[in-house]
Amino acid sequence: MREPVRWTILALRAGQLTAAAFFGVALVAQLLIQPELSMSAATIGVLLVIATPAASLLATIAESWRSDRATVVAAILVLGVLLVASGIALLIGR
Amino acid sequence: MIALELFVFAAAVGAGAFGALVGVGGGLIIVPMLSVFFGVEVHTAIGVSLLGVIAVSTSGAASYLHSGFANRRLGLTLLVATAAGGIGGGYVAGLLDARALSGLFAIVLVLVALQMLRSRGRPPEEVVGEAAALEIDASYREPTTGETIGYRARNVPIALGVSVVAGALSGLMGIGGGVVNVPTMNVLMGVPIRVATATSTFMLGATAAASAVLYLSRGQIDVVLAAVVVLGVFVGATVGARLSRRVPRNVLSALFVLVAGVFAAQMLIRFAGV
Repeated sequence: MREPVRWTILALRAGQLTAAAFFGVALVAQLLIQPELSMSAATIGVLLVIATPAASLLATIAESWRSDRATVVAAILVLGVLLVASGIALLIGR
Repeated sequence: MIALELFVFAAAVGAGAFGALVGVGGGLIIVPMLSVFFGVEVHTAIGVSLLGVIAVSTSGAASYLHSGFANRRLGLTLLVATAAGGIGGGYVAGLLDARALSGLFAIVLVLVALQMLRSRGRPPEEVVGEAAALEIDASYREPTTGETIGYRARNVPIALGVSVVAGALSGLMGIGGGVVNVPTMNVLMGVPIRVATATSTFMLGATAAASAVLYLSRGQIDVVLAAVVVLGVFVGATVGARLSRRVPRNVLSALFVLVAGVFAAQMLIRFAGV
């Protein structure tokens, strides 16, 4: 039986589309010589891009919870390791 | 200025399409494109490239999960090891000679690429009996022939070990995960090349995201430039993932071998100290 992937796909597509929308606003704002709006919209887009993999992992955990515990465990571990890595990166970056 | 951004967008479309096709993220194209052709400072180019890699993964993975090519469970299993290696192993790898590691990695990559070339026409090993404890059985529908192909991901403990090392090396040498993910799955685990490239595409986003946080915190991401690149990659990766269905398996293998060759050449140049 195929693993459930609908919510994961939804999270990936939602992240993609919303980031694209903000990037579109950023580029239009740049054309209209609105640098502050452009920077703000682009920054939100960047944050959405970075957050999308984590969102897809959460979606995977939710949709696999009943049917595939091995996938749930792996997704939780990956999410945990990535949060730790991001935390360390932020600490080192300072 | 607009013409420049259009060039960057077009190049990003190409990078996204190629990256999604062979499961390597597109950084191989984006970083030199930005730093060499458009004069972007190299750390900024890498930061923007990381976002491009996430975009390839996001777009490509959605298509590949939908078509059943990407094996999410396999990808997540290997990702645990890769991500763990990236945190802890980086400290150990930092004690070793980076040039020597580059040379060694280049040799291994060439040998692996030769193995992939040799085996690219071969069908996957027949799945017989029950899967052992860590093995993963799955199947996918080969789009070029219409047949359903069953496969078993084997040698999982060894693959996890390789993934830990790959995670550690990627931070030290700045190599992408795809160039290790794909041969690990295809050559070591016996996973069909189409599944290996699709699953690698799925895996890339998570590892790139952690690195992107660091670059963003250091102010090394030009967000407006990133907007242009990521939009281009979104388009390209979506097209690339759909195009991959028409690409025969042996051509996918050959394309990956080409990428591996370019990476090996880069590592040899680094080893030679040029």
